[in-house]
Formats: sequence, C-alpha cells, structure tokens
Amino acid sequence: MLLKNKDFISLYEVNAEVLLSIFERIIFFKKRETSEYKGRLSGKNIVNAFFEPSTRTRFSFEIAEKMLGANVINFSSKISSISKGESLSDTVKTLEAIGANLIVVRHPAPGAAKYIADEIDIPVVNAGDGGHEHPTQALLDLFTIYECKGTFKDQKIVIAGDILHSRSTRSTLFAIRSLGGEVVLCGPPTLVPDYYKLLGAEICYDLDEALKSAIAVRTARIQKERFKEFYIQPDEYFKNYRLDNKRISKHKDKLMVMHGAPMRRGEEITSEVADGPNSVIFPQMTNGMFARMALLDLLLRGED
Amino acid sequence: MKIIIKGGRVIDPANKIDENLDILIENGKILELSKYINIAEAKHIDASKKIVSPGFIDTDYNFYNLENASIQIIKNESKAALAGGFTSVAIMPDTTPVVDNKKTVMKILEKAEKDSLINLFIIGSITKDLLGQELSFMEELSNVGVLAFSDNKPIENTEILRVAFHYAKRFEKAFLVNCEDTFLIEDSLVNEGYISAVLGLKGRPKIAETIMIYRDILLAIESDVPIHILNATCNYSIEAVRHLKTKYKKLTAGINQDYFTLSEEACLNFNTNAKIQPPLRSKDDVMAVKEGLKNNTIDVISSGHRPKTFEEKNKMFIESEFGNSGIELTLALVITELVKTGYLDISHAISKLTINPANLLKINKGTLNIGTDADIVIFDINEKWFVKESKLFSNYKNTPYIKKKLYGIVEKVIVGGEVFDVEKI
Repeated sequence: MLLKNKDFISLYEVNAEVLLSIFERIIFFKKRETSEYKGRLSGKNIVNAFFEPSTRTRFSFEIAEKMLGANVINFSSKISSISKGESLSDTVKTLEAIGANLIVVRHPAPGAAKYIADEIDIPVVNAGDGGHEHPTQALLDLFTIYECKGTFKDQKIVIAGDILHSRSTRSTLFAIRSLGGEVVLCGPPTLVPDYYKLLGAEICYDLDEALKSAIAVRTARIQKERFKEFYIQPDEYFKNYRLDNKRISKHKDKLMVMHGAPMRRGEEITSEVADGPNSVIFPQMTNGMFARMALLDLLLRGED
Repeated sequence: MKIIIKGGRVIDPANKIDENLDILIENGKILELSKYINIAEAKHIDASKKIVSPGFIDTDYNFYNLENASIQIIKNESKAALAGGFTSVAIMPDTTPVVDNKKTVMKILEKAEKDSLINLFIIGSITKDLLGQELSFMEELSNVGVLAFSDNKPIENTEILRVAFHYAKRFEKAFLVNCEDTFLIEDSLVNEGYISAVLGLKGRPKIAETIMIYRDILLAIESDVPIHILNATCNYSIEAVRHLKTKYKKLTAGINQDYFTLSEEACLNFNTNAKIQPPLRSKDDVMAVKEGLKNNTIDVISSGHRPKTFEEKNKMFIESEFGNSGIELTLALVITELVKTGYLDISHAISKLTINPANLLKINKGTLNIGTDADIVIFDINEKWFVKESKLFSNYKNTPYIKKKLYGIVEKVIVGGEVFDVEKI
C-alpha cells in the first residue's frame, strides 16, 4: 500500500516519498492520451459526499473520476436522509453497504473525514473538513510548483492572507516542510497566529519583505463567511496584502503567483496579475484534476 | 465487630506516620494503631507488603443522574470509586435536577444512604439552575449540609459572582471555582497552541484560565471567603496561585488527574476521549503541574470524573461531549505519573488525596485519627497492569487510558468499618 493507510485525510507528518510518488503518478497521467487510461477505474463506484457547498472541487473530482471510467454518484446532504435524522455514521455505512468503493467527503466539521474513515472500511478522501485541512488542494498547489521548479529543497514559498481560516494552508505547510521547503506566512497578526511557528512556519507581517526571496506566493483568500469582522480593517488589509502589478513586478523573473479560487478580482488580486505572466492560477486548476485522478488511482489500484 | 489490619506499611500524612503498624477497628471506628495487635476474635486482614492509608476523598466528581439511577448503576459507580482508592466523594451540583435547593439535597442523600457503598457528600450550586444569573438557595443548602459551593463551570458575570461571594460570607464554606473566560473560549475545544495549529480547531488560550483565576481570587480576598481553584492547568495559572497564596491564607488549588498525565497531543486524530475542559495543555504545562504538586502550590488531586455514554462521546469531535470518566484509575495514575517518576513520594501524594481535601471540605476524615470513621484503603504500589475496557467497573467507559500500562492497584477498601475486596464486589 503506497499510502500509510487506506484513506487520504491529512498531510500531517506525511512522508516526502509519498508526495513524490503522487507527483510521479500525476506526471504519468498528464503525459498520456485519455484512451490509455480511461478504463483504469471502470466498475468502481465513487461517491462524492459533499455536506458543504462546492463547485470547483466537486467538478474537479467528478471529471477526474469519469476520466478513469468510474461510476460517479453525487450525494448532497440537502436531499439525503441526514435531513430525516439519520446519523452521519449510518449514512456512510449505508453507502459502503450498497457498494461504494470510495467516498470523497467535504464537510463543515473539522475532523469529519477522519470520523467517517474510522466508521467504514473503504477509502475516504478528504475534500475539505471545516477549518482543518484540504489535502488535495495542497497536492495540486505543490505539484504546480514541483512542475515548474523541480524541487522544494530550501525554496521559500509565501502564503499570504487569511491564514487563520485557511485549511489548505495547513495541508500545504505540512507538505512543504516534509519536502524540505520553507514557508513564510504573511498577513495581519490577527489572521496569522503565533502557534504556526510550532508547525515550522516563519511569520512575517510585511508582504513586500516576504516576497524578496520567494519562488512562489499563494493567496489565502479572506474567508468572510468564517470569522468575526473585527479581526481586520479591510482597506488597510487590501493595501498591505493585495497582489497587484506594483508589488509583483519587482519579482517578476522568478515568482509564481498562485491562488485557490474563487478569485475576487480587484480585492486580493488584480486582473493584471491574475492574467499576467507570473500567474499559474489556471494551470493549477488543470493540475487539480490530474492530481485527483492520480490520488484516486493510487487509492483504488495501488502501485500498478 | 473487630477488625485488625495486620502488617501493612501505614501511611497517615496528617499525623506524619509512615511505618509498619497494625490497625484495630471496632464498630466502624479506628480504635488503635500499634506495632502488634492480637485479638483472637477479630477478623484479620493481611496487609503485608501493602500500603495502608486513609481512604481518598474526591473533590471533583460527577454523577449526573443519581436520582434516577438504578441500584446496579450506583453499585458499579461505587465500585469504580473504590477501585480508585476513594471512600468519600463530593458530588458536583450539575445533577438532574440541579442541587440548588434543600429538597434535591435530601433526595440525593436518601438515595446515597440506601444504595451507595461509599460516602457521598454534596456540593451545592452557587447560582440557581447553574444559569449564572440568580443565587441558589445558598443558606438552606448550607444548613442542610453541603460541604462547599460550585457551579462546576465558569460564572461569566463578575458582578453576580461578587454578590455570591459576599452573600456566602456567613457560611464559611469554600467556593470551588472553574476558571475560564467564557468570551475567550467561545467555540473553542482544545488548547490554543500546537494542537489547535495541527487540527484547525479554535483554541482556548491559557490566559483565559489565568485571567479568571486572578479575578476569582481577588473576589475571595475581598469577601474573605475560602476559595479553591479546581484546576490550575498551566504554568501561568500555577504562578498566579503561588503568588496569591502569599497574600491570602484561605486559598487552595487542585488538579484533575488528566492534567499531570496527558498533554494536548492526546487530542491528535480528533480523539474525543481527550476532549475535556479545561483542555489538555502543552508538555511544558504538564511539567509545571507536576512541579506545582511537588512544591505544594497545588494541594489537592481529584478525579474530574465525568461519566458519559458511548453515544455522547462517539461523535465528531466538535459535537462530542466534554469529559472522561476516570475515578477508578486515580490511585494508579498518581503512582505511575507522580510517584514512580520521582515527583512526589507516596506519603506526599496521599496527603493530596486525603488530609488536604478533608481540610478543604471541613470533614473529619482523611486521617487515621483514633475515634474517626474507619475509611481505609489498602493497596499494592508496585503491581503492573494494563487498562482493559472489559475490566472497568464503571458503567461509563469514556476514558483515554485504555491499554495504558499502570502501576499500583487497590486490594481492599474499608468504608465505615465495612470491608470491600475490590476484585470480588
């Protein structure tokens, strides 16, 4: 078994070898024609159990699943028996009993993916569990950097914005550290808590300073829906942390500009930068689909 | 009915006794402690190679549904307490219904009298229904014999707590306080630090506890009421208690067993059995707790027993109930984590479970004084064993210690002269 256990829940203490193997599998798929791999997961039933709204991530998973020939079942909590009072545990056990071979889960509660994974024997992929982690997002971000730079050793990556509420930042931080890279978390102090230092991150409140020796900057979007308004002063925030041409052009030769989408053009990023030569935002999304293909392939087919 | 406990190492910290002695018990009272007692018609209990000490007293114990509990449940919970070395427990008032009036106290005492194998004492609530808004019937609670007052949770409104302290001046009974700033800990389930960083959960900062420790002690000083900090779980809090003890004599502090045993890492993988409040803290704080016990900043060790059903605990972390049940492991945890590691010698450890809680609650127990009730525990300090779920006595198995290796096991407990063989009850 390539991965330590049957599931893909968290990148906490993930092995560098595991990440590199996933990258290799991504490259495998990117290099080939669809016809070469379209039956690899045929006959497998994959359930996308999304208890929290999502478009991008769900579409990305769905396309990845269909490209490999799997049967895709989309499950939304609004129409399910959760509304009839069934426990989450019973819901997923039912899916397993009916014949699901793998469940992709997005849920508003931190720890939900682990909870579900412990209740059933089939693999569970975490597509985002509350404010905890978003490991497939981290995979695609990291692969995008890997594809461009070839290595993480001693490379500095800046993540800027609302770090406090960014689950993908947590996953990304774990993975970059395991691959030997450095992470600088940047934002106002109220959104960049000190305890991230305990996870091996550096903290810097000045974005221009942080960008000086960075190979990539990844925006952590302000998640207004997740926090109380008094944590920041919006005008000051955007002045200090917006990715605009003035800020980026100083580093244009080597700095990759990354974003998790959806973008709010004009707010945390300008159109000039989003569509400019440093931006890898759309390639990230393409890599996201391939990364999910690679992951599902590895979980259901192992190392074949 | 005469009983002689023979040949044990008798440790009674209150009287500075630590030597091999025999103990004579008659009609439920301690009659004599001497080198060799031989009375033909007495029942002999062989305590050779065992330690014999006063039975332990728990100051932080929960039994939510006592009034409606069946005899069997009460018996199992009593067994669990006995297995932990306890002969007396003080029940926190968040029972159903809340202990905020005389009638509820009488019902509980009546039930306890009938079915409990150990001594049950009552802690009365500070506010009505534990809502933190109006005072409970503090005077009638005091008159009917509650040992102390507590809401078993933080009281947010400082003015109300201040009024309660002043109202209680006459009663000379301690306030057992839970110190956490409710605003700072809102929606927070773990320690703010490494574990909140890893799990992506909002954390409870240590200062939320220390701020309220300062607040509550100042209120006690102002009203001259005895105050007991139920849990000083972190270095800042322990420093605060240490400092304020130099200013105020009626201040004591306690700690539940989990805080010298586990650190926040026990919550990794969203382990709900480690979800307690105040939260498990950092490894440095665990060391500070052990040091605090050693230098007597912390006077009392309690179980913090919070029995929860499987359904209540086996949920997602954010939904799971707080608390773990632990009273039957108290002696073993104290020996394993504090005595075997060299922080406390056994006599010092016993004092935190006997004479210190007895002094706090002002009961004539926790010693081997002649003429007092024969509440005695006989235990082996060296026996190694592993915690198995199937062997737990309590009906409630919500403990993080399954499979843990422990040293120390209770053999027999005597409650008011009645002898219980822990394995055979």
